Amino acid sequence: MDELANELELHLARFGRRLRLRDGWLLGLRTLWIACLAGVLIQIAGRIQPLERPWLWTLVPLVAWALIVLGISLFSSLPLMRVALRVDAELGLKERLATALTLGDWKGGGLEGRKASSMIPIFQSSNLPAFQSSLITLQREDALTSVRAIDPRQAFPLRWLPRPLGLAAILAGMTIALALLPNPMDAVLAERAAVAQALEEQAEQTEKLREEIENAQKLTPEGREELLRQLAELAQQLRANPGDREEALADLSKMEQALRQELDANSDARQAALEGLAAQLQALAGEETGETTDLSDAAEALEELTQQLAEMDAAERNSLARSLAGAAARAAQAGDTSLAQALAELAQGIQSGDSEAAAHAAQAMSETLAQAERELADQAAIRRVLAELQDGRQAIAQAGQSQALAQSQGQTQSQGQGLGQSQSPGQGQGQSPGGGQPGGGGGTQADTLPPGSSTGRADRPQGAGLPGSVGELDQQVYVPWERRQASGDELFIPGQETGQGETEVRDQTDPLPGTPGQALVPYYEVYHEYLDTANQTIERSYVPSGLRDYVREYFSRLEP
Amino acid sequence: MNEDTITAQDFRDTATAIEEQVGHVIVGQRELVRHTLITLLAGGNALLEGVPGLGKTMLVRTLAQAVDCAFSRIQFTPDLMPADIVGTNLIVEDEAGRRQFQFEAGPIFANLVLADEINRATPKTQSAMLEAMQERSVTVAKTTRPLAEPFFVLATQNPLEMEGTYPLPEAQLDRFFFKIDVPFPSIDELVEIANRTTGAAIPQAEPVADGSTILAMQALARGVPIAGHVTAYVARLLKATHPDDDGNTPEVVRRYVRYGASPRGMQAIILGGKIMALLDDRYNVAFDDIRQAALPALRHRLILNFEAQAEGVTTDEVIGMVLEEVIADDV
Repeated sequence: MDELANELELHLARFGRRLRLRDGWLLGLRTLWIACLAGVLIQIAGRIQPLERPWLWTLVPLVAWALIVLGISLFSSLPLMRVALRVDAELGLKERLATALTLGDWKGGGLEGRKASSMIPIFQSSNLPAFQSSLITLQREDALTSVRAIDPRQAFPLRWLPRPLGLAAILAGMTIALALLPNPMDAVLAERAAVAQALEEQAEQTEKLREEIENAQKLTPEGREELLRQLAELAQQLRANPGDREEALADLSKMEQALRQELDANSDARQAALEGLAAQLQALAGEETGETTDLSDAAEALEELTQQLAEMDAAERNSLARSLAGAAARAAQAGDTSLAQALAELAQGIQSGDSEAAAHAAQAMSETLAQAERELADQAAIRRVLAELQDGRQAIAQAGQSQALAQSQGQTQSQGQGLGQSQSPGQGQGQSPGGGQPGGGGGTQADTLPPGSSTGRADRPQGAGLPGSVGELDQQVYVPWERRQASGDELFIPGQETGQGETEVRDQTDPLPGTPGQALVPYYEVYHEYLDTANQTIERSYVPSGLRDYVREYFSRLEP
Repeated sequence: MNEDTITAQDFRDTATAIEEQVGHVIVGQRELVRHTLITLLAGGNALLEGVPGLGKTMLVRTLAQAVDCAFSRIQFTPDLMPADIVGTNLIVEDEAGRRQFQFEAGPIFANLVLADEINRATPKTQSAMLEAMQERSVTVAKTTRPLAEPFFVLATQNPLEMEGTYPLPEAQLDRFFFKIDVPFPSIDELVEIANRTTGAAIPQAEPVADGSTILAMQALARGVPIAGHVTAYVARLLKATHPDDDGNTPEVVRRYVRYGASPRGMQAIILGGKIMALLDDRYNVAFDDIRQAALPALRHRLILNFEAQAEGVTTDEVIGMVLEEVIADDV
């Protein structure tokens, strides 16, 4: 490569760097408005849809813009010939540089490796007349003289483009203004975060409950497995939930419904009957009874009784048999047919004096008692899980609601009648021990809710103070009684002695106090249906957000 | 000076001096003088078109004075014969009384020849003239006689009196390097013309060059380098004047041009560009040189169709639009 070509290439390389920088600069100025416009759109989107950290997303198009402009400035391809042509054109050099670069190629050096086809060769032979060679030399020197006098920075200044910059400034101002103005979605995001937190806590709580149930001893294998499966599924659903309150409440309600279907309404009665039986068996076995009776004590008492059979005379055996028969009748009344049958067989075995049969029946009775204990443990576990779910639902329903509730209470103070009272018709039973008294306390503090008719659904609880006769639910609901710690009043049911068949005397303790009346449904059995209907109405109809929270609060306070 | 001793600076100085000398006699018409000089330095022949009395004859005569070359003028008339141009053999009697043929050279045997109103002569006479221009020689009675070097013909046409004329055929028009329009002088120029030509003193041009200098300048001009992409631009321009080309033909050419320019047009543009570059103190041909040379080089080489004639579209307008549409930088 000769010196002229070398020097020319050096100058062109300088110009190339400057041109690349200027191209990137101008590209950046011309396209900055696009990045700013993207920022404005992101901010607007953040006001329409809840968007986490919108200010961070606003920076993304700016960063992308900067990277693209920088990449083009640094890495765009600009061959020397292209540089020469651009410099010639922009600075009015009249193709001096491009011609000199081409002539350098003819010189046989300086452009090795470059595509020869990109330039049309001027001279095919080096045998040129002297004057022509001198012209070529003069041309290259003329080109170098021109380029030496040019400062790339001055020749290619980085100009400001007022119009695109002005547009970008306006859009940037809009972006900043939108970022600084209060965003209504912030409350939604805060609520969502609170719900997500509550969901996480509930998921942890569910996991702990799962561990407890896994370690529980007295559950049936099927019951344990089913509960563990449902709890695992629930924990997974809660963890997968990004913060959707309704979805979480629906998952919890679904599990509650599934568990309530497995809930035995007679389990309390059964529990009471079994405890009564255990106490009775202990009494019959001559053992002392404590304040609380464990069902395992019943098995011990039964075993003791079985051992005492051999020492009993006929009258004692008959008395024992009658007691056992009475217990069988009570067990039957409580719905525990297997236990009733076992007791009846034992009573019969004892009465017949067949020790072997009695022992066999006692064994069966023990197994039945054990099974009953496990089944009752299952029910207790289910109730325990239900209680946890209800607590969890309440926590989730209330998560993030404090601020919204404060706003909604300010809006709804002047509205509505005591719709909430209709939810607790006051015709419940057994709210207080002794039963038979109207409960009426199941209402909420939602005295300021508007009448149900304002929501436009016929199946809503309507009016004030009306009993809970609602749409498709023609039953009257009541607040369920609490499980009584002691047995109920004794009843005397007169019978008629016909002299035929077996005669039984039963001592019955009625575990179901209350007044006879129309079929009643515990309110917790219809609660979820009411809740689902209310939720659907809230979603489908236009209800102010404050009132939505109010309805949710109302139902959460009603949760059983 | 010869081609090995003349420098680019000498070229510029001599050309400038010639223009100055011609400018002493010819008022204004700078583009006419420049293009005529370019044609001379390119070794071509020029066709001038303008109304009578604009100084076309004066221009050639003054140019001949400035370059100190022989000048002749041929007034073409319908009865002009080829022998009146090239010469003929005459029977002469020597001192001994013997008769022999002696060639009597015609007016074409000069360095600068003015062929005035060439379109008035018959095609036969025109062809004799044009053949001599092309071949740079004359053949009479089987004897070929070369014409003088440098040899430059400046032919004229009068656009007013076309009746009874024999317009040059397109193939013959193509032999002219440049076609130069001679515009009517401005008022100031007319005043100057009046002052110069109606006074007692008649301005004269001083010789500032000779035939060998012109030849050396011609050779030097051909040595000016031209980059490949500039040559490619000229080729694209030429191709763009053809209406039957591919999809790159401008719409104005498709609509108004019947036949496009020949490769002689490209040669004229490039040679003209080289001389313009040297005159502009440069040693390479630029796109601007090409654009300046394109108009005089192509205006007589484009044949317009009837639609152009009906709409009054001129070749200058078509060439202007072609120059706008064809992009120079296409590397």
